[in-house]
Order: sequence, then structure tokens, then C-alpha cells
Amino acid sequence: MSGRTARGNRVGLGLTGLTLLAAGGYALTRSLGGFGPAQAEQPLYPETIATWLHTNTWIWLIVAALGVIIGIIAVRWLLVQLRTERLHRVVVDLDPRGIGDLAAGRSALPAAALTTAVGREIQTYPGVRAVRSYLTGAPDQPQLNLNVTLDANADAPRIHDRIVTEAVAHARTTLDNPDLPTQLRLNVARPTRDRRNYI
Amino acid sequence: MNPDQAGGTRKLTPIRAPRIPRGRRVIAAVIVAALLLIIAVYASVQAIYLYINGAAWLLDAPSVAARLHGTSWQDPAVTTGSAVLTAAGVWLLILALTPAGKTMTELTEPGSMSAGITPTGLRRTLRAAAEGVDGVSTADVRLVRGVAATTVTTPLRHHEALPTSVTSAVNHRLGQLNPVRGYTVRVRVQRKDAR
Repeated sequence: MSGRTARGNRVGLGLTGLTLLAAGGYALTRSLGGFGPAQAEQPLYPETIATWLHTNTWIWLIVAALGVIIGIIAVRWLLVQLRTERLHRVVVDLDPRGIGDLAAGRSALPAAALTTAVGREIQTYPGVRAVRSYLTGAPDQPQLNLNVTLDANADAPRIHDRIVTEAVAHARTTLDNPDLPTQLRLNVARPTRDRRNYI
Repeated sequence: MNPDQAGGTRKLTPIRAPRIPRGRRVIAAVIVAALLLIIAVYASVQAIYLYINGAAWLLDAPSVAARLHGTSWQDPAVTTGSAVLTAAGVWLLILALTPAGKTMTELTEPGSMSAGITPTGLRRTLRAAAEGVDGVSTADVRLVRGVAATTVTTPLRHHEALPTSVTSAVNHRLGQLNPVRGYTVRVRVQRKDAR
């Protein structure tokens, strides 16, 4: 999921909350007599509205259209929760001088080639249980993301150091980008029970 | 011309480290979006039925209309329903406006690197550090508001030096991981005979 989705969620929840607050606040105020006792005593569905709806049936088309629009927005809102913004290709600058026309001397490589290599390297460190590695961002400005799960008794600081000084350093060298933005998320697995041999 | 673009040279501005992500309010968003979708589809279907047939779909519209006509705004059910709607609106607004909760404990990293460890992960690695101290049988660590409250059990009768050793081990592990927000280590020792 991306940062855009997080912002979208905030906007969506905020607008829905505002709408509910306005509708609920109006109904509550009217129900408690905030607009006068006459308003509070009126029926929810007065005769005047019923008559108006019977004579103006076009309103149902507008209701249907609004329902379709809100439904489409809701479907899109649900679908963006699955958005990851993962990169499938990354642009590597093959010009060792790093000057001149960037369009020349550039090559697009599959992101999986790098992420698999980084993941496999980290997986060889003692105490590492699982690694998930992927790239996000723009093809020419990628960000390396590493989700590493360690064994409960693993030497977390040492593994952390090795990831930074070895795996990430290798990735940066591969992409010829010493400032490759990298995000490392560590987790520690639940400790397994002692396996005792009673035989 | 922007110096970054001049002649296509490399960007000279320092690259910032990516931010450790916070919670995304996904569960609330999915629930609200799904409810909106259900209500919108139902409303559209009923509106189309009413427009074409003059009657609602699988709903006794006249009896619903009669019931609504017989209910006034000051009815307790209306007051309760309105209060619930208002409360839901306030809750969603608070959810949208307040910063999402942190899902990771941020670790200090130089340059363009950022790192975090899950609170559970930090708890487990600190627990492992405490259990590595001689004389400790089991350990439990709770992280509450900047305090790493560590409870260890020991079979030792004389365990006066144990709190210092455990504090030192946990502090050492914290120092190695170097979380941005520091933790004060508090140790409690419980004596428990070994089985």
C-alpha cells in the first residue's frame, strides 16, 4: 500500500464522518426541539413530501445516479487498498562518469533481479528466518524496502549491522547509487518451545 | 535553470531517508467503503424500481411510509438513531484528523536509510537479552511509554546482583539497536525454584 492510499483513507473517512456528523447533528437537534417544539412534533415523512415524491418521479433517477456515483467511488476506494506501487523495472545509469545525457547509457533492469539477490543474501545470515524485499518509487529513483523476520534468539543488532553494511551496500553498488533510499523493517518471530529429548 | 537538470547531471540534493510508515486506517476504510457500497447499490436499485414500476423492490413501501408518517422527530428511537449517527461521524472525523498510530519503533540510521522494528520484535529481542543473563530462567518485557519493564524469574536464593546484570544486558541490546526514542529499563526479579 502507498502513502497516497493513506491520504485517501483520511480524506474518505473525514468526508464520511463530516456527512454523518451533519446529518446526525441536524436530526438530533431537531429531535431534541432545537428548532422549536413544532418542528420536533412533525412526522419524519410528512404528507407534503409524500405528495411531492408522487408527482415528481424524476427524483428517483437522480437518487439512482447518485447511488451509482457513490457506489463507483466506494468500489474504487476498496480497490486502492490493494495498491502497492511496487516497481517492476529499475533504470540503471551505465555511464560511470555520471555526467552528460542521462538518456544515453541507461538501461532498464527487472527489479526482481536485485530484490531476489538482496533477499537471498540476507537469508544466508544466521538467525534470519524470512526476508521480503521489493522496490518502490520511480524507476530512476527507486527505494529499497526490506522486511526481515528474525529468529527469537537471533543476534538482532549484528544482523541489522550486516544488512546495512553488506546487503544494502551491495544493492547500492549494483545500482550505482550510494544514496539508495532504503527502508528496513525488522520483526522477531515467536520463540519456539524447547525441544527436549526424553528418550 | 535548475542545477539538478543542467546537462542531465546527477541530483546533488541529499536524498532523505524514507519515513517509517504509520498505520493506514485500512480496517476503518474498508468497513466504511463496504457499507457505502451496500447502501449505494440498494438505494440505486430501489430508486430504479420506484421510477419504472412505481413500487419498491422486495419492500412494502406503503407500510414503511405509513410507519415513518406515524413517527415524529421527537420519538426516542429517532433521538437514539441520530445520536448514534452523530457519534459515528465524530469518531470517523477523529480517526481522519489524528495522526495514525505508530506500527514500528524507529531505529536511528544514518543518511538515506531508515529502519524500524515492530514493538513485538523489540520486546522479544529484549526478552532474549534478559534471558541470556546467568541465573535467569525466564524473562518477560513490556514496553509502556518509554519504559522497558522487565520481569525475570530466577532459581537463585541470593539474586541481589541480578537486577543490575539484567538492566545492563537489556540496555546493551537497546544501545546496539539504538531506537530513536530511548527506553528506561526497569527490572523486577521473582524467585522461582527450578523444576
